[in-house]
Amino acid sequence: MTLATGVGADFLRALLQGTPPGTVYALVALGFVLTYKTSGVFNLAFGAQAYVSAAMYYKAHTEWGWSIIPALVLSVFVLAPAIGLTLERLVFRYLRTGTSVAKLVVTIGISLALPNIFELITNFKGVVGRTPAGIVPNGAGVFYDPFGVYPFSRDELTTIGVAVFAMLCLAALFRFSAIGLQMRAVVESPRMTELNGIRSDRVSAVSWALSSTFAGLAGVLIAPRFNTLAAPDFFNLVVVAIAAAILGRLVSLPRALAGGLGLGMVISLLGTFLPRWVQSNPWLRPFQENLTPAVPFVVLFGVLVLWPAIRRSREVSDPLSGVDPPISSLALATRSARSHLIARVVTVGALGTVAAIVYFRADASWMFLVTQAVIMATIYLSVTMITGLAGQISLCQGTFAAIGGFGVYQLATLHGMSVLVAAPIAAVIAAAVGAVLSLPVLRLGGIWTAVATLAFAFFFDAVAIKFSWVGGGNTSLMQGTRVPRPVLGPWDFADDRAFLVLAVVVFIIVSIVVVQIRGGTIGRTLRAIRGSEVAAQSIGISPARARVVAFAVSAAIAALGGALLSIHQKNVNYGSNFSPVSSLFWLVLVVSLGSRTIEGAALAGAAYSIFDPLILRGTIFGWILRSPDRVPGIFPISPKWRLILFGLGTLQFARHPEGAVEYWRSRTARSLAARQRSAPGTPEAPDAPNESDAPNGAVTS
Amino acid sequence: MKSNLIKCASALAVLSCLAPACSNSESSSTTTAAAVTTTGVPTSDTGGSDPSTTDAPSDRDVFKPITGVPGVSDKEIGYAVIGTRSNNPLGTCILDCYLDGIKAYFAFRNSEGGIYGRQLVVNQEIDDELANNQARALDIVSNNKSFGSFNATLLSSGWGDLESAGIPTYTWGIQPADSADRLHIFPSIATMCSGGCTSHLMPYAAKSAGAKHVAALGYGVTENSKTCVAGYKNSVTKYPEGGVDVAYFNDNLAFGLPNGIGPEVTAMKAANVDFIATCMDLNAMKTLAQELHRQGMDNVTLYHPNTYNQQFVTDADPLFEGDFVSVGFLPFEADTAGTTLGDFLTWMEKAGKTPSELAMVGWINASVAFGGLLAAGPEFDRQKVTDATNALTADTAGGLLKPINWSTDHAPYTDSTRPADKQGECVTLVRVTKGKFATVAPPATPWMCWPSIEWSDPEFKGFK
Repeated sequence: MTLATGVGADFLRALLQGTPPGTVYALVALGFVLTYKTSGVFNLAFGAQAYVSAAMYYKAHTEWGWSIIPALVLSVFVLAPAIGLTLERLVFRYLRTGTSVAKLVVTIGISLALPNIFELITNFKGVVGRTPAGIVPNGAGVFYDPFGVYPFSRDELTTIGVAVFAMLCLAALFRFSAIGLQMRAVVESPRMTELNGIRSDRVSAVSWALSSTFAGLAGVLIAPRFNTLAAPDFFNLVVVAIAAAILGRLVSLPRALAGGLGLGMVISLLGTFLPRWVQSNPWLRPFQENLTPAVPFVVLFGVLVLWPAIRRSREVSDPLSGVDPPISSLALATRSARSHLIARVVTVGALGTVAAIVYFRADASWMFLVTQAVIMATIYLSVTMITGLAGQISLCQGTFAAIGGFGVYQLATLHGMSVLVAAPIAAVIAAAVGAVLSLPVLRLGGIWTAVATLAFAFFFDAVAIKFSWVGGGNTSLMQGTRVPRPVLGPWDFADDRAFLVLAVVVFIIVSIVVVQIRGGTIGRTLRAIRGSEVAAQSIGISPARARVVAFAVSAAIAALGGALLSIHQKNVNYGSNFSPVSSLFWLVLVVSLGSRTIEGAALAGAAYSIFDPLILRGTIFGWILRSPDRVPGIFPISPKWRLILFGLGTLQFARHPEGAVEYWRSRTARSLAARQRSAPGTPEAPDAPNESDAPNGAVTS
Repeated sequence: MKSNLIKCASALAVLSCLAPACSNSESSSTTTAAAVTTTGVPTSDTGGSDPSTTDAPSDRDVFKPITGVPGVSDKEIGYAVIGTRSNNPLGTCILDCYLDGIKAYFAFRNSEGGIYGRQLVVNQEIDDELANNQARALDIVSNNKSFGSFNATLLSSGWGDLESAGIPTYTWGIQPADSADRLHIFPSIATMCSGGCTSHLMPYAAKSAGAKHVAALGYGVTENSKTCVAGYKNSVTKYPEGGVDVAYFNDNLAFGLPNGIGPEVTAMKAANVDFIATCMDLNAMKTLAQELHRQGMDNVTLYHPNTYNQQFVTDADPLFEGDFVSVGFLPFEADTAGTTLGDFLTWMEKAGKTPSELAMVGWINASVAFGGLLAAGPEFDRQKVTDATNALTADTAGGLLKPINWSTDHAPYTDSTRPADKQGECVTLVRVTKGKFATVAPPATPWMCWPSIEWSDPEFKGFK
């Protein structure tokens, strides 16, 4: 059949060419909506769930030689619901009344951990060029051309059919069935549902099994589009598909389907017509160069910022949420002055000892790691600022750090400025970017702020670093993005020890700034806003101003840390350090350990940098056994464990949003107080301050 | 608010005052180029031959006690190998295949008695997990138990530290920016022209395919890909003798082609494109070939920059039939006479390993390391080996590479700063024929060389 010609035919062809990728986005968007409707979770782990089923299907069908049906049953109808049930039982059951943000953070952790758990258990590894097979025989090799314009493969037609059928079935489920109604009711308020005699646990379990099965099915259907099966591709797909899901405000299945298809078609139409328009209108070329790869992120950001309905559909509120106890106050507030003093002396002593050992004994490798830990802790203070203090989730802290890195590269390497001057200037630039970004983003609130910042991170990754005034352009081809170490008077920071001291000084200064802000007007304002935004406004507090300041300061801190990291590594190393996914990992680390305290950031920095060599590579056992040769043979442990352990660390966050550090500190303080009270003749310990002294999520240490 | 502004202004003023006192360390990149010039590697009088393949010098078997040289004992010379195994997003075999080649080479040389009475060994195998190259490189610097290092990694953040530590480092040459102007770093491909440079090869391949209308495709997100595609375009413009024009150009594709490549293929079809040169990864090449097949363009010839992977091509057969693939070294399909290619194939077989691109890179790197040792003499140390290697002016790693002049080839250049000795070029090219690679030039003389920057038919050569 010959292809039709003309603009109309080109338009139709472009629509059809956008249909297969659009269907993929639609499938993921449907999965998002399904999970959100049935569990209230904005499930960033959807891609990980889909990947695991796709990989299981590949392993069973391609590697083990199973036929399609048993492989499909195993991967989609056994493994996928089992994963869903496990997640519900171990994680989300405890989060049912948690905030959307808490659930979001947990799904980020799961998205990091789940693929690695699967790969470790099954020893699965994607191989280049081994395209996964679809669920119909010869699905990639047989084509049908229903319109005589553009042929579809059998796999693609199957995927389109399944997506439409699934949408209809799910819509019917929610509209006409009792279980569909119960699922939505449990999301709205599990307690009220139980008052009506419905077992919310069971309904929730069904919801998770259903949504996970759908994720598995989507994964198996999507997999043939990838010529190497790899988890990051599925995560990137999720980020793109969020735009489609949001078009349906996370509740409308038909809109999500239409959004996914529309997204694919818009990208295809731009790919078809934009180059033609550029030929007659050269001024459009920058748009072609920069817009094309960033369409999904621009759409996502645009929808979030410009569509008022999104802002109105913040979070589902449970009418009985008032019965929840408030988040625990900081441990410091519940400790006696004596135990506080002891803890402080012990901490300072321990840190001093470690610092002395590192300074005088560490080799180049440990010096590098410890310095990196200090710098990462500085960057993580930006999370303390925006998440711990302002209560917002930002998923673009890596991007701000990258602005810092590229800032020093541009100013120091290309324009001859000292990096000591360039770094603060880069921080100021990032603060300005952060402030501008915060204006549209922060009024969204909750998960929408997180998603908008994620879109910004991917936009920066796809577009901004291409600009020569950011990533260096042609110049970076010759010598990369190398960054020099500074010299300040008699101090040459090319010496690693001197640079460690500089990093520590910067960390201390930034920590003091954060503590000062926390205790100052802005900090109190932010706490008031977190307590009750309406009440805060009623007494004349401007939430917008406080949040913009918090976002800008947070961006500046991240950029300062990013600049320092680039100077430390003598290269920006964007791919290693600042990719959008890095922000997710950072957030998971910090909130798991404690996003409200300086100690949380410091420990997160140490965990990021030192956990791997110390624990996974077995170095600590070498020290204990006094010889690296005596390290047990099981070391080094697979680096996948790092993502697994830190990813699963968010489960701790699910139950204790104050973070592990605060949780253990509070627990210790409570047990000490109890021991003191029970000791005969001991005067009664001072009363713990009223909970209201430290409102939810406030950082007061 | 006003006081805040004053504070900010004060801070900036302080910073401005600090500026004269601040500068950047001497080890900065801005001084590196000067360092290269001033430290200038002396050109060897004996340059022009590859010590690893010439008749073994008489002192190769001479044992001289050496003390205080890291990684060197009376019995062994130890090397560290860093590569990417975990988290490799491409799904390709990197570290393990690279190790295969290095170990095969060491086994080959050790079977001859090693060098200076010592065996060559890999004493550290390190997975950099994609993002930890610098930390792993510093491990090598710190434990200081290897004489040199080999490095095959997708992100090469640690090369600067190995350079600073003076450790001879042999690398997979896909990161020219990170090896540029670093005298201890020896990539498997000499530092090349950067930034949209012209080449005879693509127009020649298009002409050989009988093509008339060329398309050039690349990713927008990486500067390497963009300038690579620009190089294709510039080459076609520069060499009209190739008889092709650029009918379609797109350097803005999204990495990995997540949305497919349907509209672009349709546009190429409308432009009567019959030859497509790309700067994309293997998976994207397969996606492109699948879309060409879907739209009935099976007869279009592709020019692949990095698909020299027989298994990959076999798995995709017949999608790549008739396509050209550029190779950075002597292809496996070439005649082995006079080179160490036969040794490579033999020793890989002895080890029970399959020849692969990364194995060959490992073999080449090991060969350069061995050549440096040989040139340094029996009382060697790291600096002597680096200096001796940099004195080689025509190193072919046993006939596997075009001659590299290490005294000058650390320095990158552009089309406009192209040195006099870089006016010509030598390349190898294979074509997929019945699912297998075959050299475009005669197998006995597989290198296609252009003596000058002017257009001409290539001379077919072989190197010893």
